Amino acid sequence: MTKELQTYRNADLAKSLLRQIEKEVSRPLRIMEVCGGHTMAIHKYGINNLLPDDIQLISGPGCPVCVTPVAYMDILLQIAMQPDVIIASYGDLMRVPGNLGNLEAVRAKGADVRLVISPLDALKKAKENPGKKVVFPAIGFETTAPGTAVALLKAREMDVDNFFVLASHRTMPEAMQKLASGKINIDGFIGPGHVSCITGSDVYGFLASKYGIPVVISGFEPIDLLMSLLMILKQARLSKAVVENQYDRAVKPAGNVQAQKIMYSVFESCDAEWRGLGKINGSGLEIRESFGKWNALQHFKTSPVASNEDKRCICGKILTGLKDPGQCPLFGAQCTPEQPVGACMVSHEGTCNAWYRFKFMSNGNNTSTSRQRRKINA
Amino acid sequence: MCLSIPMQIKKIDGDLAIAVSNGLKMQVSIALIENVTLEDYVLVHTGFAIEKIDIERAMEMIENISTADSDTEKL
Repeated sequence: MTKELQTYRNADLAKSLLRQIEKEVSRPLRIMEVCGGHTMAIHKYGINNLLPDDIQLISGPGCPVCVTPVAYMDILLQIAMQPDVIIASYGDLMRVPGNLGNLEAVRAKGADVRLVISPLDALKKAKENPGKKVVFPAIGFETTAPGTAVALLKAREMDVDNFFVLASHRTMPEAMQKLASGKINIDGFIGPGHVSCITGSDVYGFLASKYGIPVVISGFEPIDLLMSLLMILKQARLSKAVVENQYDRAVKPAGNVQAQKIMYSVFESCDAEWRGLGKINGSGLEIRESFGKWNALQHFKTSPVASNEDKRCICGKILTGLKDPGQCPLFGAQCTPEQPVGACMVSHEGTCNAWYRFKFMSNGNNTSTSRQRRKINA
Repeated sequence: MCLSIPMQIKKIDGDLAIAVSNGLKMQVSIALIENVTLEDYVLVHTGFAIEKIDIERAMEMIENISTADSDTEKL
């Protein structure tokens, strides 16, 4: 990190912002962060413990792993068990539960599952293994989808016929609309930073104009998040609702137009299922027919699988801000990062995982939501 | 998966580049962004530079905090 960006972790600046936040609170507010990276940063830096009691931070459906449907995992796991298949996957997906287990479990049974950090790495594995079919499970939001699109364009350019993409990309504004139109009474959104690098900040205008909810696009450092909260509080005090961009060092109003063009040259919008939120119109990205040759759904045969999900899991309610992990009967006992029952416990960006690492384990296994206020003006 | 790392571009070869950050050196794709030049700071996500970082703007934002807090103190 550059020395300039290190300033975004400066303790004195954080204290200054917290003083301003204390003075700006006008009423109890529920503010939702919809990006898993923000959830992780809020817990990692203990920001939720430093805020006035009237501010309640709630986590939304911004962890791609957490919203990936069970049915998708079942298709992926069936493909993984087929002969001559290599699954080239992001590490985040390894322990996401489906009805047939998870990738780690099928690897233990003999499936060839390898980790990659980029879809281009998966494409490289396809070129290195001409006798195998390399399948890339493509999850993630607008941040991730353009990269998948580049890999598919390269596969076409280089005529790689043993590379397949199992796409489950999702788009965030549609999910935020579903939340805004629901009954969870959100007073402000901390808008997703890296998703917005691609989409731009203008795309969230409807949340302010139609639903009257302030939106502030935020960066991921502690100073970014405190600034964004302050901007939301100011809007609330003035009874305003507009979209503001705290992360304008990287997010432009119209976003990354080149990445959008590449993404939509390969994908088109479709209705899509979200774990916890159900079906949301226009919230998915499916591979265009012209790229059908590389679409794993068209190449591999799979069957629906009967559900064996644990009914006690409340991931759905956690993803929509209706409950927190401390209210789940499985949390910290049957459901841990080592043996997750629900998807929110799997990824580091999942709400349950963040609670477990930064609250449960560091707080004597006490999942109480009461704040440990710290004297900030010392 | 939302993680992006600020990195600095050190070498460009077509739509690939070598980027560095805190001793980490890696090849990244610059296919998603336009007009990248050497020494630019970019956000890298899953091996792709997804946007350039405007360091000057980042520092202006910090200046605003200091000014705003001074104003608050006067109230």
